[in-house]
Amino acid sequence: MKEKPTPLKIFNFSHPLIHTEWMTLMGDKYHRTLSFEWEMVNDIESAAIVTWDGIVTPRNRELVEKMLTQLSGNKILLLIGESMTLLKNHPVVQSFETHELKIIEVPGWSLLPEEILGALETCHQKLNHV
Amino acid sequence: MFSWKEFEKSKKILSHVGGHRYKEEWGQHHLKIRPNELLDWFEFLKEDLGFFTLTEIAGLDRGEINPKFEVVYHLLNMGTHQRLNVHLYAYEGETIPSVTKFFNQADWLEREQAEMLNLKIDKVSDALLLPIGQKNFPLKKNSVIKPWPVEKAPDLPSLRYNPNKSEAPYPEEEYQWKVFSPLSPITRGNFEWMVCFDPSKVVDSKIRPGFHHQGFELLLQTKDIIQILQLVDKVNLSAAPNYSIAWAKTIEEQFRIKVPERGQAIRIVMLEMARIADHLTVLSETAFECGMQEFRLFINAREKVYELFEKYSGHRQGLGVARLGGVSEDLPPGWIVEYQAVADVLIKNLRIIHNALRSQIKFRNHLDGEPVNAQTVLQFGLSGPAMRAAGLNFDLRKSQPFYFYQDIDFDIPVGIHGSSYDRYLIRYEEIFQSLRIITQVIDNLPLGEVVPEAFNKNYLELSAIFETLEQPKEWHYCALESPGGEAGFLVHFDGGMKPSRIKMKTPGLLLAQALPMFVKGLREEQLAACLASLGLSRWEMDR
Repeated sequence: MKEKPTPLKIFNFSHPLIHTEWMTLMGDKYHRTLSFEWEMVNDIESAAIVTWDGIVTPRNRELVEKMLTQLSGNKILLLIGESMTLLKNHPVVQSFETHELKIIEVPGWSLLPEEILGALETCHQKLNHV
Repeated sequence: MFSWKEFEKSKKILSHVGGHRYKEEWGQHHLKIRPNELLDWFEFLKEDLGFFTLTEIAGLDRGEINPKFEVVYHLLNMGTHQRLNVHLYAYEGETIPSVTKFFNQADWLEREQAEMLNLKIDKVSDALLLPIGQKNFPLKKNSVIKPWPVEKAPDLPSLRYNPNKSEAPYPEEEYQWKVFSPLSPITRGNFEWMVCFDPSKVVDSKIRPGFHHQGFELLLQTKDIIQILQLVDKVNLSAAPNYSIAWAKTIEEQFRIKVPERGQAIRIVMLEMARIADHLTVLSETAFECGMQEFRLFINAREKVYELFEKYSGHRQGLGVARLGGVSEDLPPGWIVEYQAVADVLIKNLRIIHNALRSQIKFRNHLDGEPVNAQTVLQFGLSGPAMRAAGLNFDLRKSQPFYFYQDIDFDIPVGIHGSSYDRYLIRYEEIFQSLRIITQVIDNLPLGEVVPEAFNKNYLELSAIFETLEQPKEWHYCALESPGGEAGFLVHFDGGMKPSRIKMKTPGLLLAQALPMFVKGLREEQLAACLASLGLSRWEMDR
């Protein structure tokens, strides 16, 4: 019997702009439109994709460092809203070697569900064909 | 019930006692005082005149002018629906007494102003949204922002006393604190939460917000009134276009702009659609946290509302609706027919989902909880479904009706126990009331334009028009009933197109402050469902 493929696990470290659209993706209209299974998880360790809006505030700085240290190995960072340009010179991010991370950016603040799905498709390809 | 006689009476008393320091201007009441009189005045206002709710506190740095600081306390009398701005003038370094003695909700509001402006307020413990021990005061004039200090995670708080000693089934030694970090599944990135269990039920908890604080109010103060309209909706996207319409309403009241009747009607339609969308989001999150697969069905229903938004403005989530003076455009042809189809589907489907949910014991078990009474809710100055679930009948659409709300026939659902299940039921019922409102409005849609001809211009022409109008120079408060509660703006203009101070009134901050009260007596597996049913939005809390 053919084994069921494990679903792609996503951890959302992002703000409500995308949060409400993630909920949309769980509905019937967009769920299962991708060729692979995916699900949202609550622990960052088991996740393969971490989404982030790239915002570093005085208080969440500690949290961001914790998250970036966990982005090693096979994890992908999915950035929303052209944040890489903002992040390049940030002292927190500078200390991490970002060129070693796998980063995918969703351009602009366009957050249609279709575009998030497209980004997930790209992430899936990058995870499987490198 | 509202009584005009009571209203006039308290106005007379205020003008008599306040003398020249009291004035009424364009329906807003102002009272000017000094710090040493503050406590006496607040005792009088609360005990004798019935101003039981402190809605908002906003501080302003006046620059070179002395006294340097102006702090505005916005009070509400729920009985007479009277609103009063108490202006307090303080010199730099002068101590302002704390009003937490009268209003529980003043704690966080005072801490926020103290850390932003370097105000010296009595008994203010530590920073709320900014790092503890910081020396940067972002809202002070000419402040230079230096690197922020790195903040260490605080120690676990100690219980000063056993809060429920008489009924405690376990000795105090068995109490244990658990920390839910922002990465935990319960808080879902919103805040850090320290909860004390006894060890099966919650006894006490402490919240540390501010992880998403980006200085949104400071950002708004660098923009002009037309640019702000596009930004404010990002505060709570699932409730858009509530904040942009609230901002447009504030500006229209300040500059005396009349919104055409058709514009008002379409605004009501959009506000109610946003209410439906936000309630569906909260309902689906609640069902999700209870472990119910039916949460998908709520999202499917919400998708229908988003499609209607998209047909109207091209954006999902209700963006791009509001304009200063009206709305962006007229309803497109065929929209009303499509709405009617969606309304039919919503009414049919929601009843089926609700029946499926309420019959499941698991769902009820997650949402059961200790009752919260109306008195406690009033002490924390809450609004919206969380307040109405505890039995208080107060809704701005009924009490201070704007646009056509006074002509529309609809009901305000009110709960009994104030538990999570009551909040779920209130939101569920409000969806049907919103559908009822929209149906009545589009049945009697007025004819005419949606924006006044003079204001249907591009950015440059519009700002030229606003510069020719009379510039307001006073504080102004304007709010409307958003899905989560009272949302609005307390604005100060200093002449010119840029406001010198914008204070956002968001229901989320006060809800988060009252959270320890809501979760008291809950089991650990009920916490996530309780949080979801409150409908907290992290940007409403942090800004």
